[in-house]
Amino acid sequence: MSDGAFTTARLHGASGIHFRPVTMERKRVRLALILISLAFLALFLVMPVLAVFVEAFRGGWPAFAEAIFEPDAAAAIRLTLLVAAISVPCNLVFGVAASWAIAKFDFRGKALLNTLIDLPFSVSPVIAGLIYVLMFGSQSLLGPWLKSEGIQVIFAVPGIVLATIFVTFPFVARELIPLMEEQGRGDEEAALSLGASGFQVFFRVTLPNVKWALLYGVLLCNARAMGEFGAVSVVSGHIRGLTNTMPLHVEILYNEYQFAAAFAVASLLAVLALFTLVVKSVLEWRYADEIAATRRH
Amino acid sequence: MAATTIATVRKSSVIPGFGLALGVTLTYLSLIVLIPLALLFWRSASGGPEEFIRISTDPRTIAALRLSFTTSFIAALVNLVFGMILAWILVRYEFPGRRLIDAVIDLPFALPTAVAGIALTTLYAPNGWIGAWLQPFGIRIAYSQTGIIIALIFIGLPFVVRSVQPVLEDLNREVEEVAATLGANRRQTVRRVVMPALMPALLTGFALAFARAVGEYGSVIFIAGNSPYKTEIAPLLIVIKLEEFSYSGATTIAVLMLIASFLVLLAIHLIQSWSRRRYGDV
Amino acid sequence: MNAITPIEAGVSVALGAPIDVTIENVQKAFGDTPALHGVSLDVKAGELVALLGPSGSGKTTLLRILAGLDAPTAGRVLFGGDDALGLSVQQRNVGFVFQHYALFRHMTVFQNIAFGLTVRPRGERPPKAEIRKRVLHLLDLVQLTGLDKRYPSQLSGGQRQRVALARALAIEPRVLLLDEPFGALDAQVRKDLRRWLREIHDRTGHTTFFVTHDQEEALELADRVVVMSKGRIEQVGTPDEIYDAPASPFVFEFIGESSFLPVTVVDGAVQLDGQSLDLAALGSPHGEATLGFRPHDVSIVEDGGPAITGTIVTERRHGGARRLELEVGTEKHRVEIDMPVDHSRAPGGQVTFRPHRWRLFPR
Repeated sequence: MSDGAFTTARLHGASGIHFRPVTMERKRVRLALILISLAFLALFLVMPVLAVFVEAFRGGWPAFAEAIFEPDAAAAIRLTLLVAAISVPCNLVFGVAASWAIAKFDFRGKALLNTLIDLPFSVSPVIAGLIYVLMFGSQSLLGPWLKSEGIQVIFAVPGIVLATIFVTFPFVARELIPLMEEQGRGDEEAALSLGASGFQVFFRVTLPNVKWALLYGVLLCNARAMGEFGAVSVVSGHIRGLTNTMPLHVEILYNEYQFAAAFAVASLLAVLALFTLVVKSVLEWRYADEIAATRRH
Repeated sequence: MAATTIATVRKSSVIPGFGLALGVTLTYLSLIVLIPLALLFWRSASGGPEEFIRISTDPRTIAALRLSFTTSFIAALVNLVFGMILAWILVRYEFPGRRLIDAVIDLPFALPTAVAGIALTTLYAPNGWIGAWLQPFGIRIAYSQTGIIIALIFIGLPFVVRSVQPVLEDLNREVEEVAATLGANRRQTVRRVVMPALMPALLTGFALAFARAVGEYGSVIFIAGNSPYKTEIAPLLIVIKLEEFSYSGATTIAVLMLIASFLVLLAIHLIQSWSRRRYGDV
Repeated sequence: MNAITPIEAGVSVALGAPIDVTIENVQKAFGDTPALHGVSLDVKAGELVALLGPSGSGKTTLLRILAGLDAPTAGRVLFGGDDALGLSVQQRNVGFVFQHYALFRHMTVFQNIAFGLTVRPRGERPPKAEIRKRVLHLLDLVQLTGLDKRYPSQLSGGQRQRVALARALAIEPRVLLLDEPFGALDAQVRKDLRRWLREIHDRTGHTTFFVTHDQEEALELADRVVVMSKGRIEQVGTPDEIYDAPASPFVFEFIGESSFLPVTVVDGAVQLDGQSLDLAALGSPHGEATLGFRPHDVSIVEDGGPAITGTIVTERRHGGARRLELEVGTEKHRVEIDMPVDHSRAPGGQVTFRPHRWRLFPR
């Protein structure tokens, strides 16, 4: 190689380091876009979360602990856990049943069923609460009968559970259906041909194939169940110590100008959100192939 | 047609559990979603058309719906622009913290709306972290329509990013390279080759963000100020009607909102099937 | 179909005379992985050159460097005697066709072909009517008349590839670069398009490089074939030279069918296991060598003269011949030879043959 040839390549910035592929923007443009994005995220995402924790600990640890262990707050935390403990398993069973039917069988109306499962995503949480008030409230058709039987749904735990189930309805099914459709029926048919029973097929073939997606769906379902505000607010009646979930408790404290206490309880929910994001990201990075819907919500 | 459908069901029915799975699905779906929603429509109709029209045309209803739709539209537009930029840098650029940012994008999905609501209010209130800076310039964000838009930007942020990201990842770089060999500069390539390919995803993301924003309640009511005709959003008006035991008022507004979101869903569906038909899988 | 020639249509497709392309000691490394080690090549104006090699041989990298899509780590590229590396992709004015077409799927066929003209700066952009005329003419040239309003998704693979070529020709490129242009197509379509591309080239006269891993395609289509392996050029030559006088065992094996035997050259004669084979190796250096021959370039020897004797392992039908796999010599090297169909031999038997065309490669 002559020195001349080498110099020419260098002169023209062709040495790889200076070369900019045609699918890449100028460095100035790249830098500007990244900075704009960071500023936008800082302003709209990072600052609010930061604010929650700063405000929560404004009064120091003692005030924080008091706000959390105070009886009404403790009752709200217990109720939130209870509601999630009922509604998440319900939607888990439904999600598995729906994805089994949709992904492993062909039948008429499948596309419609798929659409209907997504329906709750496009209904305002307030309307989700409203429909149960219309169904079980004192004004409803069932109202007088429920009253005579001594069953209270609205302004009580059952109503809160129902509203929560509604708003978290699609989460598990949404994660499972695309993945199970992609995986097809071959594995199940093979297991059956080898003599496995229906339950063996499900627990030893299907479930292991979708376990990460299932966990992913349950995680999102749980986060939303614990944090739901609008729907629960409509059916709860805001009875302190009885029908207040954590988000509702935050609202009451905030409206009573007990900001530090409100943010203390809010910070627990924020921790839950951050935890959810961390687990979700880990699942996405490690099991991207086993989570079909990594990029859809 | 019917015969083939039955035949395929039978053919695949070596896998057991179809009846049980579909039965559970349909029962649960009906009890939780379909019957209650049908009841809503039935209740709103039971007052008769005069009542429905009277409430629909009530100035307070109209003001609330107009506010919800305009603020949602503006917030979705802002998210369209920034969501596009975010998706672009996440897919195309390598920089430190890229994965962290990718994870953080979903925060609005995970953070309870009430928490977001009080946090944003604290930031943007006249004495808040950001509000205090803007106060001297006479800019008021919390307790105004701007505040509502801020909250709606927050909750709608992930939709455009998550719609565009996978499409951008799948976009064939060779298409951009070929545009360059044909003499197009980078701006022409982005405008005439990349953007049209992303358009269906952008519109879908916009529509999703818009639909979510129209129904949003928790994050907005803290920052909105909630004064009738000015900063009272439609979901809040439903709650107010309900507290006043005006069931017909609540159901009517709810039905109007539901119809609007179903139209948005339909639009998304049409965008996607149109683009699939037109562009295929080349 | 008898398309109108460019001259008859009054619209020139090639801009002026085609240009020479000179590649001087071009090197390329991706990180620490070398992709090209000093490649040099002179291509004359209007030549149709095939870059042939297995995957990973660096042929596509070389093509992308010519287009400006990649930059070499060192070396020079000259277009018509002028340095090309200093030019951006846009300035280089090359027509590039990708294996998977890379058509703009939201544009019609017409808009795809017109794209390169419509992105020109206002002053250089032809008027609308002129663009239209040129696009329709190109559609005639690639035999897609009447499909201008279709979208790429409505075309077959072969049609898409022709649109991609028309789009590349529309900018009146100085050099045409085709990356595995027929790689994604069915065997029959490939054959048709191959003939058609040759015709187009004869008519438009662009200096053309095309990358392929299909030796049949390269030999049939190209004026000259550049055989590449592991980032180096193994041989450059006409199809005849490449086939009849392969410069290395790699080329010999890569092009056509081949058998190899380790031999020794003693005093200008080839020996196997110490026995002379009656093959004159004049000019070959003394010592170890590899003897290469093609299965169909052998004669059966029945006069008992010096030749190669092998034991038949398998026998099977191979096109118009009967192919025998033999074990030869004490080391039981496997070679293949062809025999007339009517010479059926059972496995286990002996055959004696002598290649009538062969190559010796010193080891």
